[in-house]
Amino acid sequence: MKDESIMSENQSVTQQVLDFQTKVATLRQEIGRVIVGQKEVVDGVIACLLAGSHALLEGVPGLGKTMLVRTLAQAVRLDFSRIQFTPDLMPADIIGTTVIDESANAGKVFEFRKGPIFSHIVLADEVNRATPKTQSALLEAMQEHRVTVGRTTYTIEEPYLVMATQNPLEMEGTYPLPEAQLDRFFYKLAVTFPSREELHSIVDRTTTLHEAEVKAVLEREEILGMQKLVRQVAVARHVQDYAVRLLQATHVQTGKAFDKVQRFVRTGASPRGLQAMLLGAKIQALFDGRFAPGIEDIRSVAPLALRHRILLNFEGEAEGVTTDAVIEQILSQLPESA
Amino acid sequence: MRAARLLGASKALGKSPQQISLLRVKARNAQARARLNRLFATAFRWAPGPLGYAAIGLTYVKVAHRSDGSSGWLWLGGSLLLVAWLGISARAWLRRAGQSEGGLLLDHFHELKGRVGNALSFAELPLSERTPFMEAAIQDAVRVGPELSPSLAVPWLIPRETPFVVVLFFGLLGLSLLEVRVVREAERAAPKASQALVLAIDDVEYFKEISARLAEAPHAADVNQAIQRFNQLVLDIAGERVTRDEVFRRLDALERDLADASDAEKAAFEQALKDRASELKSSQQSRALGEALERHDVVNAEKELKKLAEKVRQQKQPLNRPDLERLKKALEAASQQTQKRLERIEARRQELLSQTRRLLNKKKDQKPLSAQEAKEQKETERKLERLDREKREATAAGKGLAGLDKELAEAAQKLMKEAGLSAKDLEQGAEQMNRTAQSESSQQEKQQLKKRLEELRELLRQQGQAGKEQMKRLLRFGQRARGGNGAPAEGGEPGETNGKGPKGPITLSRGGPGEGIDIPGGSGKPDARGGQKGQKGQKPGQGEGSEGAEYGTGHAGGLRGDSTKLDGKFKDVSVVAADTGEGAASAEVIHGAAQRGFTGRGYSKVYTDYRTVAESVISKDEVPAGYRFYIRRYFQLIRPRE
Repeated sequence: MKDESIMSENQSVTQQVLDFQTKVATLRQEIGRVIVGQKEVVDGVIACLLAGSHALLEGVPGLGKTMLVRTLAQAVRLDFSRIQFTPDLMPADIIGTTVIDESANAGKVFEFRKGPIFSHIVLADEVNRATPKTQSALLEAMQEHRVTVGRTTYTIEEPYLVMATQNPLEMEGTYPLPEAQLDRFFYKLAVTFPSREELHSIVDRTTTLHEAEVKAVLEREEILGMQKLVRQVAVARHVQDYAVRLLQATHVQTGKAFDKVQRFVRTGASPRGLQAMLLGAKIQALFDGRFAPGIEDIRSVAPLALRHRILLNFEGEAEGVTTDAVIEQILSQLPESA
Repeated sequence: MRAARLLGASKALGKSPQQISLLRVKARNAQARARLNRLFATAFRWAPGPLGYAAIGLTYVKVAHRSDGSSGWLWLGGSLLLVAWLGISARAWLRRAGQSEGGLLLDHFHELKGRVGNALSFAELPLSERTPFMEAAIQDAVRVGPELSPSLAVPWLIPRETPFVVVLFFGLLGLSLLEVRVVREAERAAPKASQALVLAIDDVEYFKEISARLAEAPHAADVNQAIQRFNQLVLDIAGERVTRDEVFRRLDALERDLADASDAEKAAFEQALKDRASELKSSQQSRALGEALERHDVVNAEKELKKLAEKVRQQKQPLNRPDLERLKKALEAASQQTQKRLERIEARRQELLSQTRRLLNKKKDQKPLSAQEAKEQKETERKLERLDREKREATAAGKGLAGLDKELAEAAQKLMKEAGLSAKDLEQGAEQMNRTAQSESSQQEKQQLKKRLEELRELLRQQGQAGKEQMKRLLRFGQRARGGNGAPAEGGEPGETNGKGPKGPITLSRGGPGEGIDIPGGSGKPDARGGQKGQKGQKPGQGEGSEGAEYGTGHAGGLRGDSTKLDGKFKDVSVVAADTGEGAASAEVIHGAAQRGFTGRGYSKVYTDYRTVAESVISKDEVPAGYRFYIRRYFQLIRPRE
C-alpha cells in the first residue's frame, strides 16, 4: 500500500519534471525565434525567472541584451516595462509619484501613480548610468518585491523580475552599482559576442522582410507553479556541503583561501550567493530532467551566481584579474568531498 | 527519450531496496579502490626517503664496518624515518574523502551528474523524511545501478615514482648482499706456547709498572721504539706466549739496538769538548762557556752560548775591540780543534809509517832485523793501530761537533764586521749544542732501559736456576703481600748443603705468635743456615718453625770445605721506637705489613725511606754488581702493593 503511494507520488513528480522540461523547451524555442545563440544567457534569464529573482546582463552594446529581455517578456504573458536609466533619472521616475487628481466629485485628491517598477518584468536598461540614489530605488523592490512611498507600501505582483543591463566599456558618466544592489541580482550574465554562424543568422533575420513573431507560451500561473516546483527539488547533503565550502572559499578570512583569493579578493560572496547557487543548481537539474542537482550543477552555476558578489581589492583591480578567474581557481582546486 | 527514461525510473520502484544495496556495494568498492590508490601513491611518493636513507646507512655500515654501538644512531634515524613513512601511509589510507566519495567517482566516470551520489545520500535518510523528489532521485539512480563498474571508474593507478622506488629497493637488496672485503690484520691468536716462560705475576706487574713509567715520559723516537718492544716483551711474558729462548733472543736484540757509543768514543768526545773548552777559556767573554764544556755540561754550555750571543748583539754596552779580538781568536781556535787534532794524529802517523817503511825495506833487502828492530817494528805497528783508532774516534767526535764548529767559525768570521750576524751564528751554535744535549739525554734513557733489561735478564736467570717450587713460593708470596690468604709459611724445600740449590725463604717476622711472609729467593748465596725452612715467628726477633727431618743432618755429596758453623752467638735485642706521636713506629708498621700484607700508606712511607737508604748505599759503596741485584730484588719483592 505504501509502495503504491510512493509510486504514485513518484509518477506525479516525474510528470511534473517532464512538464517543466517541456515548458522550458517551449519557452527557449520562442525566445530562439528572435535571439540567435546566447544559450547560456537565455537559460540564465529563464533560470532567474523560475527562481523568482533578478538578472544583470553585461555586454558591449549591440549584442541583444535589451532584445533578449523584451523577447522573454513577450514569450510569457506578463507585464513588461522598460526603464532607460540616465544620469538625470530620479527615483520617482521609477517608483512612481503622487499627483493631485482633480475629479469632478471629490475635488482634488492626492493619488499615487505607480511607476514602471510595478511590472512583472522590468528592464533596467543601462542601469549603471543612473546615480546611486536612483539605483537605490530598486533595492526594496528587488529584495522584497514591494515599494514603500511615504507611509504606504505597495506590493508588486509575482512573478517579479528585474532585468538590468550594463555596458562594461563606458566608464565616464557611469556609476558602478553598489555592492548591496549587485548582491540582489541572482545571476550576472555575460553576453558574449556571437559566433560566425550566429552572426549569419542574425543578419539573415534582421536584414530581410522576415519579422519574427513571438507568442506568449507561458501564463503567469504556470510560471508560479514552475517556481514552486524548483523549490521542491531536494539537494543532497554532500552537494549542499560543496556549495557551502565553495562559498567559504571565496572569503579570505577562512584561513584556507586559495592563492588568488588570498591575493586579490577584498570581500567574498554573501549567503545570497549560496542561495543562488543552490537554486540555480536545482533549476539546472530540472532543465536536465533530473530530480536532484549534483556537484556538477553547482559548478556550472557558480560563476553566474558568484562573479558579481566577489569584490576584488586594489591589487586585483590593478592586475586586471577577473572574478571569473578567481572562481575558476577555486573550482579547480576545491575537493568535491571533504 | 528523456521522458521514457524518467518513466522507467518510476517503474523500478519495487526493486528499490535490493538495487540501492547494489549501489552501496559498488560505491564502497570504488571508494576502497580510491583509498588503496591513495595509499600506494603516498607510500611510493615518500618511499625514496627511508629507502635512500637505508641505502646510505647500509653503505656506511658496510664500507666503514661500523657494526658496533656507534651505528645505533643510524638505526634510530632509520627507525624514525620508517615510522614516519608508515604514519604518512596510514594517514593516507585512513583519510576518508567523505562517505559519498565512491558514489561521486561512479558518477564522474559514468557521467551521471551526481545521480548515484545523490541517491546514496537520500537513501541514508529515514523513509519518513524523504520527499517525492528524493524517492524519484533514488529510483533514477537505481535504474543505472547494474551498469556501474567500480573497476572502470577507479582503475588501479601505478604511482609515477614506481620505477625509482623499484630501482632503489633492488639497489638496497643488492647492497645488502654485497660483501665488502677488507684486509684485516688478523689478531694474533697468541696461543700459549707449550714451553712458555712463566713469570710470577708479581714480577710481571713490576715490569709492567716499569714499562708504563718509561712510556709516560717523552723520548727520542728510537728510545720510544725500544720501550715499545720492551713493553711487548713484558706483555708476551705475562701472556705466556714466549719461550725462554725467545725471551733471551729478544732481550739480546733489544740490547744490541740500545748499544751506544763505546767508552773509547765517549772519551774521544769528551776530549774534543775539553779541547774546545781550553781554547774558549782563553777569552774572558767565552770563559764560562769553556768551563761548561770542560765539565761536559752541554746543557749549561748551550745557555752560556746564548748568553754570549746576547753579549755580542747588545748595542748599549758593546764589547771593546781587544775583547772582540780575543773572543774571535778563541772561537776560531775552538772551531779548528778537530782539524788540528786530526793533523797532529796524521803527522804522528806519517812519522810512524816512515819508520815502518824503513824497517820493511830493510827486511826486503834480506837484512835480518835485530831484536831491537823487531821489537821496534812491533811497537810501531801497535802505535799505528792505536793512532788509526784515535783518528776514527776523533773523526767521529768531530762529526758530532761539526755543526757547532761550523757555527763558531762563522761567528768568529763575522764578529768584527757584523755583530748581529755573529750573534745569530752563536745562537745557531747553541741550537747545535741543544741537539748534542738531546743526544746525550737519549743515551741516558737508553742506559736506563738497558738497566731494566739487565734486571729482567738476571731475574730470568735466577728463576731458571730456582725451578718450579720457587715459582710456587713466589705466587704464594705475591698473594700474601697483597694481604690475601696465601698458604702459611711452611718453609722451603730442604736446600742443598753446598748452598747451590734454591734458596730458602726469608721470613719477615717479629716476636709473638703469627705467621710471617716468606721472601722467596731472598738469599742467593750460601748461608750458614742455607736450606733451612722458613720459620714461624714465635719469639721476638727470632722465629722457630717446625723443621724438616733432613735439616742440618746430612750433606750433599759434592760438599767442599767445612760445614757451616751453626753455633753462632745470638743475643736477643729489643728495640723500642721513640713515640713521636706521628703514627706507628717503623717496626710496628713492618710488623703490621708482615701480618696484613704490604699495603697502606704507613708501609709505603717506611718502604720509601728504606729503599732510599739502600739505593744510596748501593751507589756510594762498593757493592758488587751481583749483590746489587739481590738488594734491588729484595726491595722489589717487598714493594708496597695497591
